[in-house]
Amino acid sequence: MPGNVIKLRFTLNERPVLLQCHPGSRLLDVLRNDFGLKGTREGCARGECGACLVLMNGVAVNSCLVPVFALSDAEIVTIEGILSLKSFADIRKGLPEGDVYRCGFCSSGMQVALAALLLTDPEPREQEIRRSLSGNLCACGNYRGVVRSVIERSSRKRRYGRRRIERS
Amino acid sequence: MAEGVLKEVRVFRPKSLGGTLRLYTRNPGALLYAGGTEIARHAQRGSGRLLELPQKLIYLGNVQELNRISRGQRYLDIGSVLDLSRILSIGRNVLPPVLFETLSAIATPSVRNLATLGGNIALRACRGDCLPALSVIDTQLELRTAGSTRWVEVGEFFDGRNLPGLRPGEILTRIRVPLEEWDFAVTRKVHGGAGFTTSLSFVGVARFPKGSIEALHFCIGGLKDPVFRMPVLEERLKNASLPIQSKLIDTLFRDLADALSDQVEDTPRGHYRAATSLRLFRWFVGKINIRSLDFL
Repeated sequence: MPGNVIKLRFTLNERPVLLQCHPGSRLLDVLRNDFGLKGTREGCARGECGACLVLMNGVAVNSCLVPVFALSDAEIVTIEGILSLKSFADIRKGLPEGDVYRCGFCSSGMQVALAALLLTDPEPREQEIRRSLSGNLCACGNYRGVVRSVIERSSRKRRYGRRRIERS
Repeated sequence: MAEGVLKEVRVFRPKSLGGTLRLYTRNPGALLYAGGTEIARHAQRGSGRLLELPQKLIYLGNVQELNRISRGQRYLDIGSVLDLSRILSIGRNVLPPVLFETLSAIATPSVRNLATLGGNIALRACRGDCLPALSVIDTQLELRTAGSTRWVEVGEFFDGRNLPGLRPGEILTRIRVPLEEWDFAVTRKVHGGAGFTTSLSFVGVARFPKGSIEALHFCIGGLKDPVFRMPVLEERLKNASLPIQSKLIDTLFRDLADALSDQVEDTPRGHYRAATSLRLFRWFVGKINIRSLDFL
């Protein structure tokens, strides 16, 4: 059995990739070991901590719970993609700055969860932000700071948008 | 039929239900998957342990018939490979409240984006938390093979060893949820430990239009039986006038305690589960009594 391989085509950070790996691997293993994308972290490995979140077809999923054979034709965006791709430029404006996080272990998972929220709702309310972060464990416990930062950024965006409309 | 890119392990990605059933009949050893959360949990965990998989895998996520939700006057038909987030997106006003509450309490939003209702019901490795909620509202499951279709109730779905009673070549295709109205519904989930363990859960619904109980159902999950219901006890409460007399409650409580003693192991954990189930039942009946006062 360990000699088994599977070949898959999928999109990773907007680039088509062809992967050959053991069929019993998880997306998390592939991202970290085969593609060197270390921003996606392994925490609990059972979908509880949210450190390994990635965007799969536009929704946040735990990469530790995605078997590699489920990746065929999927579109995966990791934290590296969110922080660098042009198509995520607007989303990045709504994400908290790095200094909001303390130790930083949960930061990539939280950023992905917030990016998934901002993709569907660019100006989320506090309750929605809290709900979207309900799958992310932060040992430092700075949820309030993260939520406040997202609210501030979205209200700043709203004010800026209003000013632009008034000018025009 | 489209076939995934492969060398030794083959991934089939059928698009129609007919094609899927025929494929599964031809390859009875194939592994069916949609969300894949349970499979990935058993995969490599940083320790180099690799999951052994059969040579053929069938992905159900592209099958249109399994991805549909349709609403009739009396039922809501939910395709078995719909993920929990999509089912929850139907909304609190359409889904029965017990089902909405139960699904909202399963795992985290990102896991609910992957996990499917069919997986929650038909997994062999662990029993889903949605079973009590589905059973209490008399949900039916559609099971299909290439040549036959049958409907079973959630409680009848499990065999003598409490494993999903699927026949060779059979697939869980649809979950038919009745849209009956209930005056009162409660769900309580007591966490059983680490992730993917079955929680102790209590779900109860009742209808009492004219000062007496017209129908009362309750179901407990996380015991030896995947879904534990007591139709005899439910029948005894039928037509009972409200508020329910404490003498009747005590009798029912004793009967339930007797029945629960067979449902738990003789361990501290088992005793805790039985005692908590009894407390939840008493709380449920007490709540009905309080609620009935509002109706009077």
